[in-house]
Amino acid sequence: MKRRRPNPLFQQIEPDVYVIDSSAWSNIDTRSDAEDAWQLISALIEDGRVVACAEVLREVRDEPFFLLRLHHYEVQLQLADRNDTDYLMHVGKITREHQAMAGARGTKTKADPYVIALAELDNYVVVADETCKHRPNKKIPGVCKQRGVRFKTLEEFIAEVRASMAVK
Amino acid sequence: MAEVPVNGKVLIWARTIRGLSIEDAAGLLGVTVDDLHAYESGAQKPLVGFLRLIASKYRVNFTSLLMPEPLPLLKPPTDHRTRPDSKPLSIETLVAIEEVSEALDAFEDIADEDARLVPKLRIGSATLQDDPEEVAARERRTFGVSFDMQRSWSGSKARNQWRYRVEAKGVFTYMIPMPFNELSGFSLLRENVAAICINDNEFSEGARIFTLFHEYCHLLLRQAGISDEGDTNRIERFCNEFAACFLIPKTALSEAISVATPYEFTDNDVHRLARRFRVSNRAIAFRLEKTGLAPQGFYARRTAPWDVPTEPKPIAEGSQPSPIRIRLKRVGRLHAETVLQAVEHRAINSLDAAELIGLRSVTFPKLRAMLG
Repeated sequence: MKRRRPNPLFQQIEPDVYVIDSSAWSNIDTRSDAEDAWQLISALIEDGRVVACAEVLREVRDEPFFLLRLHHYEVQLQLADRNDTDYLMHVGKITREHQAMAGARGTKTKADPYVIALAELDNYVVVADETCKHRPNKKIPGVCKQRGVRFKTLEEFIAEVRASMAVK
Repeated sequence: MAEVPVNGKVLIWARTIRGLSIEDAAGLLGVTVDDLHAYESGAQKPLVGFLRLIASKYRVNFTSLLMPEPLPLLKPPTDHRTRPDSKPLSIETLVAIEEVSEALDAFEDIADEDARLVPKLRIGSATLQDDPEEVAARERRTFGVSFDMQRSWSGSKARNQWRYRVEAKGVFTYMIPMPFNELSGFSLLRENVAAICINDNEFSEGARIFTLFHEYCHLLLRQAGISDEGDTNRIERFCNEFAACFLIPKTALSEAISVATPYEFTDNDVHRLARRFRVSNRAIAFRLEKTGLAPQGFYARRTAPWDVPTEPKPIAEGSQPSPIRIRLKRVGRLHAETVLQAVEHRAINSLDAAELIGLRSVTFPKLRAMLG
């Protein structure tokens, strides 16, 4: 598994890598600046600064935007080896510690613990478009906060990358 | 592929929550009992592919198999079944209970986001000390369905019409195929949401409608759980009486009979009455005896030959309804409408909605059109 373990010396100068959750992917098209946002994201994918887990891509595979926007980036997006045992055991640990978010007793495998495990192991920034007003333990933003994982909403993420690109 | 250092106790937990013996589980997985025991005892570590096979066959979340420790076992819904041939609940039934339970979790979440998006539960209440005939008459009035209206519905239309009316009281209804001789249905009750699930493998629409009201009575009693409509359990007996009284009002039944009573009705008579009331033969036989229109012991005598279970007929090829219609039958109108409303109000996203309804989000416009 390709890891970007944080090195304190370079942490400040290495650009952030974002791991995008299904909720954020599916909300891009609802934005008025969707076309512009997709262009920004495509550029970041080509730079290796936007990644996704196989489980997230599985969740969005049937959505029209997947075929149109993400299908040809599928390999580039998946830096994580879904069968890496360290990664899998970390996903299991998150599932146990955040049962409600992971649906630990349920019948379906959820992508959320994979997203958080990937961000936690590789010091990525999670991008999700969920609110956690009422049940923070069930939602990615609340769990990220509890675990000290960096998190951005889709709006914050777009604004941040747009600003950084404008500087360039 | 690498071996995964899973905790064997977690594998035992996953098998246990699905009600599988080690023999059944080994059979499902295509391995020997000794092999599965080796994985569960930790003597051998499974490959990732084998773990994925376990998740798929046990119908559990794959990531839960990777947990360092198992979760505590939860108290299952009350099992009201008392028939002598009652078996432990099968994996199909346990998964159905999980599916409905997950839906109620989701509706509780949606209500937390915006209480207006989830219909309020508006059902009455009853106790075992009440007279089921009176409770049924009172409830029937709240449904506003005349006997003529009931007679005008036939087959699946009757089932759908009753279902809509139960859903209008804020009760989610599901129809999920489960082993047909294991249970008739189940109900789940939370603080603000409730669900009824009918075994879609019941042998007739009449039987399904009877189960709908049997389970509805469980909710009135605030005694939800798993039912087989057996007559030896006090709660089951009360719910049977309620369902029979509700669907076959005494006056309407008396009016439909032209012979001097009590009378030993023939199978044909019972069948004719069952068709008139759009209920099962069994419900009519039960009601005839309870109202004194048939002699004592009539129900047991008459229904004994009907007790031979028959496998549901497979649907003929080419006559399969559309996937949307199949899902709508399974999850019910109220479930689908509530989920679609929640998406429109952005309480959930379209992916969560697709998972909750079991259809791709591109089919939502068609689903909306079907819901009208």
